[in-house]
Amino acid sequence: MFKAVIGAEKLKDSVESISALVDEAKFRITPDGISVKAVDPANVAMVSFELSKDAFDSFEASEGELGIDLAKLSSIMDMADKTDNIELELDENTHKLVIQMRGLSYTMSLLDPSSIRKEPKVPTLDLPVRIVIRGEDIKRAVKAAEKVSDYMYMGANGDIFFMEAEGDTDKVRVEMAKDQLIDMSSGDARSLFSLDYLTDISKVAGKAPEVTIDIGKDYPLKLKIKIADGHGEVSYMLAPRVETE
Amino acid sequence: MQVNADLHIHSKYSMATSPKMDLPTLARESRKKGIQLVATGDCLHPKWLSEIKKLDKENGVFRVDDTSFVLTTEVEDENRVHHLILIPSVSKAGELYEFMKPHSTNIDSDARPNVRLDGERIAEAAVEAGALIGPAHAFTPWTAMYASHDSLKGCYGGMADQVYFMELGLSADTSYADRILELQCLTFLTNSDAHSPYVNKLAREFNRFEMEDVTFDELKMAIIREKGRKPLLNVGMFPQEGKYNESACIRCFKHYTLRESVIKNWRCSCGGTIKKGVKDRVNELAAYDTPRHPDHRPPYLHLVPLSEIISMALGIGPNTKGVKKEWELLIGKFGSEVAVLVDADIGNSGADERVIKAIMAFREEKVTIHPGGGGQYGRIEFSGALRLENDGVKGESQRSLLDF
Repeated sequence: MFKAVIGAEKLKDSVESISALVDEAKFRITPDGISVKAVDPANVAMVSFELSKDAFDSFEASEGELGIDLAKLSSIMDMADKTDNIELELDENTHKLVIQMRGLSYTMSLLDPSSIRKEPKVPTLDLPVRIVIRGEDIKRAVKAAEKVSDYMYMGANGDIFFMEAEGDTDKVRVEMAKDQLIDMSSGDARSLFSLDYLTDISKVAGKAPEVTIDIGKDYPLKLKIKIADGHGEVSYMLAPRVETE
Repeated sequence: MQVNADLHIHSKYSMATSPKMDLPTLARESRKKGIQLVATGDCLHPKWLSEIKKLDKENGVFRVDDTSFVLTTEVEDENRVHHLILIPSVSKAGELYEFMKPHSTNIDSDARPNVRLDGERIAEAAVEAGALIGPAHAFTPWTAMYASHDSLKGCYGGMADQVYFMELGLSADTSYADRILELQCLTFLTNSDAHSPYVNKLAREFNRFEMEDVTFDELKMAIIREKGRKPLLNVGMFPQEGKYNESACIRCFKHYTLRESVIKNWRCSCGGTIKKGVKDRVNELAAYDTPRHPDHRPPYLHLVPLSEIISMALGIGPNTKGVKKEWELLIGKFGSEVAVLVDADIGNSGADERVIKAIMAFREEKVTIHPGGGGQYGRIEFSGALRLENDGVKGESQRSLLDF
């Protein structure tokens, strides 16, 4: 059983945060809320999403799984205004999701959860540097890096956090000292990441007032943001590119 | 007289450049490379211009010892196209600055300013100032004419016939550009776009001109090809060494033909994006299947910077003392990199045997080039077991989360 009401903006942001990496996902429903864990087809990036029942105006659910085509859900959400309330209800007989907004009613077919890629095992990483930064600063740096390259370094030298990209002819570097960040645990780190992924992730992170990033040397990054007024959390993990001989 | 010229560099006031990009260092390093005429770069930047103004000036060029500097700047237009502008005088640089300032928020802070005007408007102002303007590194897939437009006219509108040159950039040579009909009448420039004065950056590409004297007017005539002044030689890297030579996936670097890329809708089997390479961009634009060089086109000499050949031969980094020692020995004996790489009898130079073998292998074209693509540099392999990687940059591979 699943029946819930949620603000359109919260639902849109939630869908967008997952669809940044995958086209379809298995939504795990419990009486306490919804969670998703998904990895992209190349096993390079992973998203973990959690939305507590407190993010909803009403929420009733028993344990279950819903296979969602995110592109389809996202296009349905395009019909909603930010201020609309969205009603979601699982039709147990047809196993379809009924989505209602301001008099419109969509009945969306669900995917067979067993056909969706199995949830990934999340690697345990002990990363030496943590940065808490404004989302808009990350978005700006990624946008600048895209102008010159397909890849971007993120790293830290002591109390300085940096993001750097170098193309055939041009280079972009953003440096932020500890006092320009919201918070930082200092250290040394430097890893190279594909902007193909970072661009999509930064679109989501760019809306967040605070983004927590953990980095290491040639190690994956972890990026975490709060959503739905603090009632949810999205975290991404992205594998680095590593120099080879 | 023959003049070697590198007409596109950046000063220490541009983003991400070496603090050593000052005029005395540039003059000294250019002399070692065998370059007589160097771009100032960045001449719209007030601080850099004030440093240039302190030099001896004569006939539109500025001199430090034997090295002459010509005023140049690079600007980015509203379509993200980079333009190279060669300017006749300080007062004309001032006029262009005044013209662009209302349309740029960073003209005083970044020496390569973004200007919210299209190519046609910028070209109008440049031509009115007596300057020469043309597209910089025209085929680069990011900030170049052929990244944003399909033709000169698309970029420069009614001013297209006032454009006399195009800079080829590191990823193209005349065999690429001379397949495109509209470029037949242009002079091609090969410049380094250097951000540091290291010997493997400054003048890694350069031009040789026939001129009567080293002045702005003589340079302008040589580029326009008037009164017997003309380009004699383009010198540059193998285009296949570029990071975006062939279309390839930016995640796994698998190479694709243009047809395969279109069929796959520019998505690699691994899920990554296939980035269109310069070679395929030329294939799209080309009127000819093979290059048709017009009579005025000079030969194109493919060179790899000497320091990189030495670095590869000795198996050490290009900026190490060991490489510098061999480089200085050869330059001291033969005068310039071109002489060492192409003309001189280096057999009894006293240089390391491995270095001599590598240079000879290069001259005899016993090289195999593995094209770059998707952001991964190409590499040159000599017929032996020697391998040279561009700029000393090693390849990178995308890791999976399962590796951790």
